[in-house]
Amino acid sequence: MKINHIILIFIFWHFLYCSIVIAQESKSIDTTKICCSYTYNFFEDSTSKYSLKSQNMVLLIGSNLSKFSTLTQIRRDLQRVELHNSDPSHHINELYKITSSEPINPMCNYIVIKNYKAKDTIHFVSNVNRTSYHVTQVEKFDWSIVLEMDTTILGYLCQKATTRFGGRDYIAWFTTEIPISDGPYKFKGLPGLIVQICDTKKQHCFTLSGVEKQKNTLPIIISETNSITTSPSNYVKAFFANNARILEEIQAGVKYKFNDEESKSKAIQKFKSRNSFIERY
Amino acid sequence: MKKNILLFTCFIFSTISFGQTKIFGHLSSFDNSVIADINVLVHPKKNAVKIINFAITDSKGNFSLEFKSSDDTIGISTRSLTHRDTTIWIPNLNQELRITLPVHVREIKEVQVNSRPIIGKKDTITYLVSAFAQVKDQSIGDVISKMPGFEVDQDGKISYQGSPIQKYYIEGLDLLENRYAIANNNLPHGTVGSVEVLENHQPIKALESSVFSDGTSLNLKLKRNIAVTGKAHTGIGFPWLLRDINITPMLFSARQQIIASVQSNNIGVDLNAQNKPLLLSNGVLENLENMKPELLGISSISKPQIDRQRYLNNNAHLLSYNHLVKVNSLTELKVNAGFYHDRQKEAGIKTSSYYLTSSNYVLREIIDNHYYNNNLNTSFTLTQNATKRYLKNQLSINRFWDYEKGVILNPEKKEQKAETPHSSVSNSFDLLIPIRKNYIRIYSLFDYNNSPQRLSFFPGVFITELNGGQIYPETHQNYSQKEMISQQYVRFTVSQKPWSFDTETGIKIELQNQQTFIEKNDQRISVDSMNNDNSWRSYELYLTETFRYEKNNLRGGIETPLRTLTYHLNDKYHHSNNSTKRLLFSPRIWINYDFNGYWSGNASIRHATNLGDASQLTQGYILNGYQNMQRRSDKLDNKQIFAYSFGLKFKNPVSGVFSSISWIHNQTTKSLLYHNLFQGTTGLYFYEAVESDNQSTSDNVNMENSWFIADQKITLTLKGNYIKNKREYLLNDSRSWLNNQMILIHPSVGYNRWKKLGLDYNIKLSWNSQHNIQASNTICSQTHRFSFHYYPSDKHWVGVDVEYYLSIQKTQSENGQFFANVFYNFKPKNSRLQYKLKCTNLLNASEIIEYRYSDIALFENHYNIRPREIMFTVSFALNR
Repeated sequence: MKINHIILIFIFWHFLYCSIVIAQESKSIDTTKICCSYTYNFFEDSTSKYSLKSQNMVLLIGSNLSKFSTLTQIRRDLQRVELHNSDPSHHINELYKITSSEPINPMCNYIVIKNYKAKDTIHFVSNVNRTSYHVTQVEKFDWSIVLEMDTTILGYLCQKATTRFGGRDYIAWFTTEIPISDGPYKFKGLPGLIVQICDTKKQHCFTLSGVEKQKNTLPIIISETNSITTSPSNYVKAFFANNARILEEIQAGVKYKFNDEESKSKAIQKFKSRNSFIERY
Repeated sequence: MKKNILLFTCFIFSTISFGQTKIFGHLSSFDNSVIADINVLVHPKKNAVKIINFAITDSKGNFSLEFKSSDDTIGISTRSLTHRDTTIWIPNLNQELRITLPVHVREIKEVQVNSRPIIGKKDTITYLVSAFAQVKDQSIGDVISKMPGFEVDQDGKISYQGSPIQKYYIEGLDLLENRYAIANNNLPHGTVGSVEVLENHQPIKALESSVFSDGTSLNLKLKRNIAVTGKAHTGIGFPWLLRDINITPMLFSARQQIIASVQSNNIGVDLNAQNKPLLLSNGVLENLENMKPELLGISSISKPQIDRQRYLNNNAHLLSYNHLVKVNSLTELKVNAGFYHDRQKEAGIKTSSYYLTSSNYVLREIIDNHYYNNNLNTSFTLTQNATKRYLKNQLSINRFWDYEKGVILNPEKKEQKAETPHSSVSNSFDLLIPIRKNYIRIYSLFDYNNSPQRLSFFPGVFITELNGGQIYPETHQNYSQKEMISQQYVRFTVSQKPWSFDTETGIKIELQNQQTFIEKNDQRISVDSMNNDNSWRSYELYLTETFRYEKNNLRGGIETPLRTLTYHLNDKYHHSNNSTKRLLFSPRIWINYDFNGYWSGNASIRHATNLGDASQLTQGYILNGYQNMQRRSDKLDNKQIFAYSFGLKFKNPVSGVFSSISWIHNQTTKSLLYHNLFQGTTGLYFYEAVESDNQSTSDNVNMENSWFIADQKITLTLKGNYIKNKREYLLNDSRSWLNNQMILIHPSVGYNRWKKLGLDYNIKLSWNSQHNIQASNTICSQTHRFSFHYYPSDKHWVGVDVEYYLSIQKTQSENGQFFANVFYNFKPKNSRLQYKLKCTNLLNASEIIEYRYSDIALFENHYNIRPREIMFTVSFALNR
């Protein structure tokens, strides 16, 4: 328990630092029409059954674009706008409360913006080691619809489709009852909302857990930051490079202090086992 | 309106198609609005649900489709948030389509998945109370009993996956220790957000990271940090002046927790269940120092196996006060005090058929008993539970003033009276200090007990043995026991992951005095064989080495307790060995393995040598009833036990499946055999210990399965138990084997899918058989319980509980009995009050018939039950 706590705290400070230092300006780019909640279950370590993690994710669908990120990120964005002019320490406190309620796993610390106007263009923004990486990619998903398979998920009639993306094969279930060609993460391009999508090895799974029409104004916020533009594969490299860097720092034992050798070895194990990002190149 | 009529035009460029169809199209809108991002789907013939292929329109409304289909007709449909869904059926040909769509704002179907009712994360499983609670449920205990994996018995004891829980926390604090029934029965479930099951929970924080535990604890997470809650109700009813009063306010805050309770009823609610400590914790007997020994008692009828409230004829009062204060972040002070007063009546007919070689001796007794119970218990506890130190000191004072009397007609009238007071004072001190990764633990217990008990008979009994065959007015059996126990140990724990080693060395000293004598008309019988006066000192020195291993999924250990036991006995009346010295060794090995997140298995094997208690050295006769007398030998019972067990558990919190199966085998060799000597002519019964090695074996297979189907709100459970035991016994000088077998099957189903209806049905089937040289008996019983609750609106609800009990013994007629309760509940909107009208035992059944057996007899019990009663109760919600 204690060791997890230490990791959480330094991961948290890491992100908080990023969000305060880097994200100077937040602006609203659209208003949410439909808010879809997803549960993201994934294995941090592709070789261990025990590394299953779960994170609450949200897809905010606006008129012109959609934003997909963790629920914690969405709450932090809103908080940041609300507390824009308040005392920084109060600000940090409030952000801490939000983050500690459901810390963001580094494997899902990103936002994905899909602009409906610029078809097939996906923007992906993620902070790795205080640097903001921006990936713009044009991805036309090649979906094959599986005619003979249908089911009902969450009361929606769903049909099966398959595709390949980022080094994995996926099985998706979509519903034409919500005729929005969008879905979790970068996935889109089906004639209806993706209700569930899993890779065939079931390492990464997004499952819809709620759909809500937004009656109150819920802005879709992005932070304008200086970022490095990169390719999807280079982002993945940067992610693992950073992971390896933290691992080295832990092993060196200068930056991160542990109560005992055991917690240290657990932390090392934890970073070592973090090997299964959703995209593989 | 004309505008809204769908218009479409087809320009067909007929070409020969080879299975592959190409369709180009253009969508336009009646109001010339943007027609981009509209989904265009292709359907097979006569199936507008399935999709062969799809396209999404570009910014100008153009789309192109390419697909393979052997159908002669296909469907093309459009789906969007902005325009009306449109489906057209066209021939399967290459073509160009132009479709004009009417504007229509689509209402999407909103859904919200309720959070999963059971969430598993590592060693913590969280059950959401709201997913299991029903309108009829009052307390958290009602809800816990429905959660898969849990079982709550009539005494309020909670078991999880077949084993009793270790700790019952409320917001992480252990206010009640093992008297948790008072919270479980009275805490409204609405106050509780979730119930957390902490598996492999180590209650001592300092040991958390290094010494594992197999125990499971339970923690109630309240909805609010500070909660004033509780239960208050008052009810009246007839016939007689029935009352049911319960005022139990509770306060839970970060600094303190209070549960106070005033309860009084004469409707059969057993208040002692909320007062007495539950002894089993994590499979280990605990809190024995607060228990009262039952040395003497009047003859009674065994309690029937139906719901206790149907037969318990009580008049009970309970006062309880429990207060925990956190003095600082580490230190907790706790006061628990309870006073229980009860007058219980018990009436019925007991027919006993004693097995004799030639014929059976049948005794029919009409029994009418009264029990007066008074019990005061208090305890003061200081706890420091921090990673740097664990300290617990508990002072407990218990006093019992119990008195019972009864009249038996067989057919002569016999009166019995027993005074069974008991007092005890005990103090336990427990200190654990970590020194680097090692620990030192010091434990000390002092316990003083005094029980001067007396059993009286009117007229005098055993006239031949005690009064030369002459009838005389009264006999008294006196039995008093005083003891002073002290136990001290020091334990060193060295933790070197994955190993930890314990060395425990301790001493247990007991000073006891036991006196029994019989009085005939207030005149003490001086014959030695009717007297006992034993004083003894016993010293037990022990050294226990424990090795534990824990790595990844494997946990195991070896325990090797070595004890030397010394008794110094002073027997005033009988010849005895003055001192006994023995070396005892009882090793145990256990292993637990987690196969994956779902399956886990455990096994253990142990060998134990025990020496009986010196309190068994009563060589003089003691009267246990108007027809039994018993005496023991000058030898201590020397017991050798060999036992092993296997268990397999499965849990899948996501699908709500919990299963466990276990098998325990026990083999015991004892050096004393009890000789039952039954005089068929007089009905008198002597019980003597005889020195003779004897064996017994037992096997117990137990399984529990429960499955909660969350979307259907169905709970299915199936429990089963098979027990087989075999032992030697001695009746009227003939020695033989006694074989017992028991099979118990207990399926149940709860259905709460419909908002307005709740159904529960559970069945208990049991089959008991006994074979010995004199007789072979089979007793079967069935219990069916069905409950039906109908909630026409939020304000009203009605319910029916039906219970059917049947006990069958082949030589006797079948005796089934129906019971029914009906009730109506009314809760005005926005009111804290709730009204309930209840009629119990609607069919006015008067007795329950049950068959039982013992080693030497078969019994037919007719137990009187509570008549038809009508209660009106007003409840007041204390929670804000």
